[in-house]
Amino acid sequence: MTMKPSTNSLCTPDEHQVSRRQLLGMTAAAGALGLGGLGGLVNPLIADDMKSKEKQVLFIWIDGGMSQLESWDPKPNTQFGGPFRSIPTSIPGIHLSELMPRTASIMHKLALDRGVSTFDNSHSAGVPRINRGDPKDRGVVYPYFGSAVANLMGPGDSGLPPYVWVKPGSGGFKYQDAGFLGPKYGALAIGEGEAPPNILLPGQFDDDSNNERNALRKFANKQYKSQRPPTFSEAQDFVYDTAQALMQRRSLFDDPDPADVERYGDTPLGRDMLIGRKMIEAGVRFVKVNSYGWDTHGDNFNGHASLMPRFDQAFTAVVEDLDQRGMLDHVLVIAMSEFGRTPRINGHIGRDHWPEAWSIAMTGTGIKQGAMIGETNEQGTWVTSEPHDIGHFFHTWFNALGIDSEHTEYINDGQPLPIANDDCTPIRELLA
Amino acid sequence: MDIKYKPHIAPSADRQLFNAKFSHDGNLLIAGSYQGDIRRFDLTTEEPTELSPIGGHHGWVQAIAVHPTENILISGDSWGKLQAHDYTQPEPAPIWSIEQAHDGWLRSIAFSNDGQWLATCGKDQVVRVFQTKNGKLQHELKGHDADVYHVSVRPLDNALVSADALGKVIHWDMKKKSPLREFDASETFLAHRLQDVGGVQCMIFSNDSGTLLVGGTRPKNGGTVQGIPIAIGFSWESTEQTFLRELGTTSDCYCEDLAFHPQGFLMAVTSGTPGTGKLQFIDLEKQDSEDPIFMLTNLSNCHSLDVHPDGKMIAVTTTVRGSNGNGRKVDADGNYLGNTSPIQLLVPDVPEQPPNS
Repeated sequence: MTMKPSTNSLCTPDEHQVSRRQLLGMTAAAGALGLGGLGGLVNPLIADDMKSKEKQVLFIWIDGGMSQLESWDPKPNTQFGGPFRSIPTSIPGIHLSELMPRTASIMHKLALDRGVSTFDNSHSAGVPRINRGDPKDRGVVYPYFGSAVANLMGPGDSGLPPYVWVKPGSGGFKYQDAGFLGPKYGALAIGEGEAPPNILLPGQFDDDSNNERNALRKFANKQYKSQRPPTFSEAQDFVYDTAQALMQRRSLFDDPDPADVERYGDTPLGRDMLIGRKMIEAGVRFVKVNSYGWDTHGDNFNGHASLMPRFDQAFTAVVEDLDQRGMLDHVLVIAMSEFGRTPRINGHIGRDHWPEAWSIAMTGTGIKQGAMIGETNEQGTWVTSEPHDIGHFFHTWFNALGIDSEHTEYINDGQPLPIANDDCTPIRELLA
Repeated sequence: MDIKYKPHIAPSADRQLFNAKFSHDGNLLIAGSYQGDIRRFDLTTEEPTELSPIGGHHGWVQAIAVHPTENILISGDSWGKLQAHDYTQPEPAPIWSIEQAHDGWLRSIAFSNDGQWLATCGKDQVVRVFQTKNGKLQHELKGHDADVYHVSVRPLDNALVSADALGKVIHWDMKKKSPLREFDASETFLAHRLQDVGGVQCMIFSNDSGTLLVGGTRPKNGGTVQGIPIAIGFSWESTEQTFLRELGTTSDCYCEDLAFHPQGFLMAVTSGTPGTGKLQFIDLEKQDSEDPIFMLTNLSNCHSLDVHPDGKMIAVTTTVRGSNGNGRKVDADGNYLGNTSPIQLLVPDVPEQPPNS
């Protein structure tokens, strides 16, 4: 069921009432069908609607802050422009930093907004605020984008968890991203490209004995559930089912094809982007691929001289692969940080945090390829076009995924909550 | 040895600067800027006076070298352009210019001892040798696997060495155009996450040419790079490491430049987290002592070092204090301001003699 958007960019109270009634009704129906029981959250029927569309998200998170001046918005030969040249791209008149030659060659497949202007200039506040779409304060902790998509669109048919986070460092289940949606919508983190531990059946069990064990477990769980609210056992079931699904898909963690490694780069980001592609191919709804180490307060330029080519290689490879497989028709790809970096160059030859004027790139389903929007001034210090905050992007991405962001709400224990900042609207120029 | 220096005066331009060098006669102070030009300061006036800039460059002009005997300045920029100018002219026109001496960031220039040729290096991993008088390419030397950060020429015999981002130092056989020997300064390099961190930042030969000294950091992490600044000495004869000196803590980070004082001791400058910078004098004869014979710790982010031909004044390129900060910092009129690079001119700190003493 899809609600029609209003012609007015702001919601009216009537629309909210209708919306709430509809959604509460949907939730009741979902519960009757055995699909809900999640504290009144609206997701089940929207998820049904989305299922047929098979929309997915590959979210590339450049943690620490990629410099827009050494990447998407170069200002060569200006006071703050740094040492690098700019190079032409496949879109006439659009230039990128010389550190991104591969991306430049596929620019016509991307959309870029150089007019991003956000508010938080610290990691501790900026990372969660950006990842949650900077919603208005309604007394709840909003979910990260991955958890939101997992909830609104469901896991799909893959049998795999809906939100997978591929990252350097430790793996595990990261429930914190889910906010008020509850732990079930957290991220299954794949750390260092390693399969989660214990997904191989111990050698002393064959399929028959394993089935017997499972039958016993199900019996015990049934007894347990019968005397407690369903939410108690839901998260436990979810984790178990996830483990079972991963046991069936162990090949996702097989050694990669050397030719793929060469194309993606033999780096942590190349490795993780390749795993991310495999997860998307396997049907995971939302895959976050994470790169750390971009907080270049010191030695920014030598840093970006090695960081950017590795991003450039992995990013281009995954976009090209998805494109060649026809998957950009249903996969939304986003590349972003929590902010950009200061135009001013400090004494450690670094750039500090700069939310005032930076860039976000995207492509894939629902996105207008080749859209180049947003502008900064000659020095790269301020946005001169209409500034876009993260709330605008959440609206845009939800719409790209087929979710009417202005009229869809979460229902949290009876409280209707907008899924994106209700002062913001979708950026129509980015939408196909 | 009892020697002290103190800041005397600090000329500054409206742009950040690299590598301030004295002219061979000591009358000018010359530095490349962060925005495509070269700044000159006349030191013969009562206060240093900025002259008109030398233009024609792009990006950063990090690499400059002053001819040992003539009024020739060679400069290279981060887009790969190499130029020669008579720096004494009021509005210098280039003597010669090569638009693409390197493909990208040209990092360092060194003259031969007689000034007949010069060597350059850069991001394209190549070392090139040009004739000074006309800019004609003489040699192209390939053997590095990373950006080449520094070139240096041995005073005794014009031997050419180059050092790269991975800490490899190559002594070149210029006749065969191939590496002759290597020195291992990989201690200055760390692969951290996606980032290559460190590499050799500077090099100098000892006065007797028997030791090659390199400066850099022992990196701890990338991103906001931290590491212990170090100077490493290598025997020229054996290529073995003979000297290692830590020049601070992890927040001091890089040894950015090295020079020898006419009195024979080694001078080093460091630059670390914003506001952190040191100048220190090291007596290489006292290798058992970790303490410098003199240290100034109140300089902010020292990036280069040069000694005036009079053997007394020292120029240290620094960055203005308060250079960092997240988010918008604007002046009263709402203008977003850049940083500047005061060139600290230091003079011997000699106690004033009482009158009639």
